[in-house]
Amino acid sequence: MKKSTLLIFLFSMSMTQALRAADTLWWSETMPHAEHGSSQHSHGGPVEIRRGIYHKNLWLRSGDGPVDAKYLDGAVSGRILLTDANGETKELSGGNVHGSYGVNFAMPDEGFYNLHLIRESVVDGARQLTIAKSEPLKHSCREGHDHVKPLMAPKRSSQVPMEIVRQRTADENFHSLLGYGDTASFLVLYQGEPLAGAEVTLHTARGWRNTVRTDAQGIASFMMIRDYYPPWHEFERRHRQDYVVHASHTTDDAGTTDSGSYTKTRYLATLNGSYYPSTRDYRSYAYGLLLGVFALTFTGVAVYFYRRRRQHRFHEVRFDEKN
Amino acid sequence: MKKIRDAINGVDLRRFRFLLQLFFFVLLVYGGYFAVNLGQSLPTFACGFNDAGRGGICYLLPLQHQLAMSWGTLFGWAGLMVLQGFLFFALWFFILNKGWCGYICPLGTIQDWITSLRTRLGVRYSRYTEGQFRRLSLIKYLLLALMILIPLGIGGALLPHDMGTPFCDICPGRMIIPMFTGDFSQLTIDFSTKTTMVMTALGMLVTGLFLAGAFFKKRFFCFFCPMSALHYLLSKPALLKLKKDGAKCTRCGDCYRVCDMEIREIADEVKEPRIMQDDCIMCLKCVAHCPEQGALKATFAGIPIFESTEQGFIKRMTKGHHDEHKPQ
Ligand code: SF4
Ligand code: SF4
Ligand code: SF4
Repeated sequence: MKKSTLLIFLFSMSMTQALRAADTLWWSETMPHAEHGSSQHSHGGPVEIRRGIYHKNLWLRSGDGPVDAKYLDGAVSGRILLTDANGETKELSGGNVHGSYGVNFAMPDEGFYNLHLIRESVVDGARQLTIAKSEPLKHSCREGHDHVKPLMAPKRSSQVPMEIVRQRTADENFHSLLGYGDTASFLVLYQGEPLAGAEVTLHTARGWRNTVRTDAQGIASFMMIRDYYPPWHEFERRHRQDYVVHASHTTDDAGTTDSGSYTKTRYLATLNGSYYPSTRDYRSYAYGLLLGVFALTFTGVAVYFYRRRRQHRFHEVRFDEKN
Repeated sequence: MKKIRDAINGVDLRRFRFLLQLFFFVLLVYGGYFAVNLGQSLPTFACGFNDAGRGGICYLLPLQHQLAMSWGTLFGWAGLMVLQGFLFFALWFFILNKGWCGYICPLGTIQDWITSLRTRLGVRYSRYTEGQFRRLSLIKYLLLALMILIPLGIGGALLPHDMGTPFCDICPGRMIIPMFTGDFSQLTIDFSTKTTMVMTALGMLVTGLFLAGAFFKKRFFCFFCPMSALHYLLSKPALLKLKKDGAKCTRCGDCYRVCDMEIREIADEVKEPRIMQDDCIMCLKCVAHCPEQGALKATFAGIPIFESTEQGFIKRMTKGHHDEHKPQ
């Protein structure tokens, strides 16, 4: 029996919450009911370790961005494909994960996993194909870091009509975190080819969003803004926040499916990710250098005076021979 | 054979050591650019915070990381991993013994460079009194104990998590070594939590102290180095050894005078042939400066590789003499 099914109880269809066909779906790493942005890695968080094997939890949410997207109570129709770190793809089934609809799967090997949900619906003569993608990473420092380079490149799936691929930065490794002020770039692929001029929107954790169009190479870039303002004593440098990217593309593909016939097709691809406070936000060179220079001069001056004090002028000692 | 022996024993140790130290410095500080990777159990300060350039990783970093795992994990399957790391550390160390300190450690090399700067500036050096020496040399064992106990305390949820690698926080290697590859990011105070603020502030104070200390005192930091303490626990079975033949020693005290670590026993001890003390960095300066044939020697797996000879002594002394009188 697959380990990943242990925790999953399929909901009965009667409990399915009505999900509107046009709803935007995306995967989220944030546990339902969790305090928003919790970076917990222990039990119940996005990653659970069972007998030394990492298991990933992801929840499906509907809505535009992290602020208002709902978790889902019931099962969602559609295919879920998981491509593992070695590039092998298999079909998964979703279910109740800690109270909401999601998936749980094992990540035994180091590297990026690709999860796709492909959902099709026809409403009012328009077909909508939603492709929600997530790209979780499995890495444990115990495995060392020599093998990382060849595992960095993003995978492309031949089984989805449209997808968003997060581009790697030049010196990215398994420890790289996206921070405020960093630029994140996304490649939009349609039928495996870069799609120019597609509308791409990024939503941040607190509701900021920005829409750009892909360039001739199919790439859209966003600078991550600072989006976290806690009181100082509550500041968490590993404060994880979700972002979601959407890209859409409409064609005049027509046809008929079980749910009716249609005259146009709208493709909607989503990709989720995480970003963190920038180290620039909480590190100070000024104080660091001040303390360093203080210690240096203090020691130097102290040694100088210590030496001066111990220098005695030469005194000739004369003995009075009469004594 | 004898010729080779004589050539080795007459070697200009200062120059040889300078070049070897330079080689290892480049290997460990810039090796990463040439895809050198000697693993993460090196018994020397090849600082892991030097992300781009490191040619291997200082064992203290993974050790502290591993010990900070939750007790359930640490005393379960992960215990084996800790053991394996320690085994690799011990194996590396087993070959060269404290030679890692005298010839390889980048932080040791930096201290030696600071010492030559001082000599050039004509500032005299400091020594400790015997009492100070004895008290100060205990500090490294205290640091070692803390370096092990604090992460263990974190693993047991007794201490805050942001103290994860307490010794690295205050280790001058973290600030200084990455600077050689142009990474100055460690010279900062981390204000993200109170603990990190205190620890990084301590780190910067130690760095200032390190630079000034190394200027006045040869190998200032090595007295307090917990790596050195960890070394000493393992140095008995190591292959490279420092030996003394007390019968040949005239107790002239030359070896003590040149010793950067102020090891008195090197001159005073005449009974025990295994002369290496816990602060020794195996720089072999004492051997080079000993005028008595075969009184001091370094052996590798029992084979003498470098020993004190009269000719070697005279050769080195006259060379030093010339150096001093060279017109500036
Ligand atoms: S900070 Fe010091 S102890 Fe930590 S890895 Fe660097 S050199 Fe080693
Ligand atoms: S004792 Fe000195 S040379 Fe040896 S590891 Fe420590 S800092 Fe380096
Ligand atoms: S005893 Fe000899 S080898 Fe050891 S530190 Fe002193 S001079 Fe160097």
